[in-house]
Amino acid sequence: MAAFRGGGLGLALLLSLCGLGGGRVQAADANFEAQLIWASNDKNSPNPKHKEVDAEMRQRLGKLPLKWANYFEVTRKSFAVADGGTNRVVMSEKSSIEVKRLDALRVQVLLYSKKGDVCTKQTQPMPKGEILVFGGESPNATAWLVTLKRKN
Amino acid sequence: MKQDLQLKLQAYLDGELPAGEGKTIAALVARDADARAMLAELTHTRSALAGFESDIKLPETREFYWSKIAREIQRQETKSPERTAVSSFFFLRRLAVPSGVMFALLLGVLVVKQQLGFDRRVAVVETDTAQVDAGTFTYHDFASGTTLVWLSYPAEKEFAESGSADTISWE
Repeated sequence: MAAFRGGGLGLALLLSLCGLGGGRVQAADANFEAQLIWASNDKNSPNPKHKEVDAEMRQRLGKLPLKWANYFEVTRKSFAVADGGTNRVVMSEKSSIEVKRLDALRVQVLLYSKKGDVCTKQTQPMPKGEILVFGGESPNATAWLVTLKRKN
Repeated sequence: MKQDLQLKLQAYLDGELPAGEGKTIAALVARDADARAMLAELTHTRSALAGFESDIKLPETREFYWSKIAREIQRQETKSPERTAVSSFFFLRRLAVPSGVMFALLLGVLVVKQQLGFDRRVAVVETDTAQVDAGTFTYHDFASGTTLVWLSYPAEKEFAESGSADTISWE
């Protein structure tokens, strides 16, 4: 009898977990947030519209081998991509980013230049909370960053 | 008849009662038919047993004989109970409960990790960067789940054409 009760408990747990997984598979849209960030050692940005990135982004960038002291948010765009779909958002007049969902987890991300050329193409799994950062150096020891974070 | 009275009758028969209490019991026997009948029964029993006791001879002293019995009783009381034979089915049943729960938990963790994408090492293995620029490199921080793709080509030419930070024209 005790064995039967234990088996029943395990079965109930298993079913509940499968139910959790099933609910996730049915989720349609994946929400993303893209930011264009200016990296600098200057304390303030010359553009008063720019504000410092939030604490979480600051902490995540701090985990990367980047040398700059300050990061200023230039643009922030939130968008959704349907399962198997593609969405492209313009980050500035000189750059845009395209996200294509290959499956529930994997994405293909393309970074476009002003002329529409593909600067780079990144294919990787992107679970919730994962951040993909494109970056490059700019004049006067500064840098540009385009970040992409999956929100759900 | 009360046990106490029976014991007193037995003691009266054996001559173990004090003189005063013996007289009381004798008076009781004289007037109580039940007491009288009990005393008669005890007398008859004692006379019947008296013949057998004389034939039983102990190989050792009486005290030593009873002390052996007392020691054996004490030894059996302190002895741990013997294990009963456990059937294999009972043993398997006891294993089945924790094993089933552990298996379900393990399976659940694997499902949740896969569905929620906690396995970041898999993510790195499946990462692919198509490099347009030969100077591109990729860095992944496992702990925070952050990937950096560093480009050398477009930064100065496309994304930030200006020559000074004061004239950034991203917007």
